[in-house]
Amino acid sequence: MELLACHKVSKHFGGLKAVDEVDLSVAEGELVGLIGPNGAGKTTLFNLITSFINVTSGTIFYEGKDITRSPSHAIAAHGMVRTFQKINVFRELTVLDNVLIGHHLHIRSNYLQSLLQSRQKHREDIQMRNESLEILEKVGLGGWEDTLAKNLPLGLQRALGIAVGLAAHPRLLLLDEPASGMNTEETRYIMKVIRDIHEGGITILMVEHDMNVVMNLCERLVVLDFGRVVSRGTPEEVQNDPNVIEVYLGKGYKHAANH
Amino acid sequence: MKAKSIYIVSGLFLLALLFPLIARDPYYKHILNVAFLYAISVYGFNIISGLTGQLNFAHAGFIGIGAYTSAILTSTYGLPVGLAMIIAILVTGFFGLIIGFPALRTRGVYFSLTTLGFGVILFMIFENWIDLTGGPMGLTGIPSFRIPGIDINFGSKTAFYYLCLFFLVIAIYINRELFHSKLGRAMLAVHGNEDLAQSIGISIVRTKIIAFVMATMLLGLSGSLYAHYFHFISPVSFTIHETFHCLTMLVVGGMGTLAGPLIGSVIFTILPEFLRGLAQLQWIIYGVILILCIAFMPEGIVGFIKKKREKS
Repeated sequence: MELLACHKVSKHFGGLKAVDEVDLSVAEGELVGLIGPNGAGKTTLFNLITSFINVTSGTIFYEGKDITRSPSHAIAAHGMVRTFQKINVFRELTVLDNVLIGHHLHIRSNYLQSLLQSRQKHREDIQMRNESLEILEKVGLGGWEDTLAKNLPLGLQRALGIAVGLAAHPRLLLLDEPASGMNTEETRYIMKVIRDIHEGGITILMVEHDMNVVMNLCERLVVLDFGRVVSRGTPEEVQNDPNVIEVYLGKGYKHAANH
Repeated sequence: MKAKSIYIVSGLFLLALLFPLIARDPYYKHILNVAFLYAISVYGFNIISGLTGQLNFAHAGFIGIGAYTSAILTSTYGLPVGLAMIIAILVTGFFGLIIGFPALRTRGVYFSLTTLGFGVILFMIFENWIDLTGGPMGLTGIPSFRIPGIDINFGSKTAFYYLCLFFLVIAIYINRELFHSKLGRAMLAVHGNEDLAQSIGISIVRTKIIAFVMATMLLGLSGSLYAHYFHFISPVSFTIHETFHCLTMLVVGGMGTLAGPLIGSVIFTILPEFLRGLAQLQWIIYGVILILCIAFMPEGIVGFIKKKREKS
């Protein structure tokens, strides 16, 4: 079943076509990579899909529903959750509080029950806490729960960003460069985390610069350049597509290769 | 809560209960009554500014709405004080809703500037709608709080002290439960990072508006109590100067903390009293103390203590 479908989605900033008539679809259970050189429009496309910016034209469907004009928080409530390219955590709060906030959509007890010290609320608190600790364990943050987010090493802050997203119970998770700024060991770890998340039944669409990560993880790739899709297919297909080689190496590569 | 903090809190509460018996001088009771009135409003300030991160510069204006509503309903229309207080709280919250709706669609400093404007407008209304508010002369003869069927004179400093303490405990409890609930965590999320908050399904506008309505309702309560304590209100009590006085209490006590508003309110109610003998010098010294506090304890007294504890 198709979870996400972008139909001729465009974003123009004045004369600049940052995203230009992009068609993209992600089916349930897939792990799709979105790649392309810097400035190709990958993050802009993420921002359009999650309504952080408005499309110039085109339509975006989630589970067949038109969500083009839905506010970002409503899109998350539908089950599509994104992470951010720059590190985005609640810096002044503890790691555990970060993940507890991530559960926002699924906490039933309201403030009134909190004021009345309802038992159901206390039970839910304990359950959320345990679930949060499990998620932290899963992304490699076990034992860090009482640390302030801003005091975490950068690689772990990125992992925390993913943990917060996971707490929202997404069906489709959009990861924006999850491995950027990580060293080899951290990258290897985050790859394992992403694979685990995917095997746990969550569909993933990810932007990533690290070709090693993308080629190893993704079943299918979409390549953007100057806001347009220039290639799509399995990692092998994309790697051998002359269009892609041209995008990354420039037009002269054939000429250069002959010398 | 850790055992140690339970002892501290119960000890302080016992002290607060016994205070009127220890301090015979009505002047001391009066000072604490004023401090508690401030504290109730600063707990409101804490919800919208400390937790949710939106600085509300119409703070004193909203206290004024509560005070004038309560005063007009009782002294002009003869409503029972208890009923007038409830209406005052609801009316202030309603103003919070209709002012918050446009104001909270803006972010950060623009919200503050919008509320600054509303604060000035409210002051102008208090001063110039003479038929309703008595203008610069204010309203006099506002009756004391009364519980039907119970013969307690809440005009007395001691009885009012307990009344105020009761509402203060409620204000603190409302703040405390926010720290442990979905709603309060959403406020902290909006404060910390709006983009991230939205990405996990938190509605920014809805959260801010709920925070603002809750905050303004506490301001309405504070204003209403103020009117029934002093029996007299006039526009000068609700100027931007008062807003900054309350902001000082919040910042020096500790923004977004549970104990900060109370600590700040008590200190900055007592301090001017101590400095009163120094005539004009008092505001200079007040200013210097304020600058020193901000320079050495930018996260307020509570934040400062927390940090010291973490280090040791």
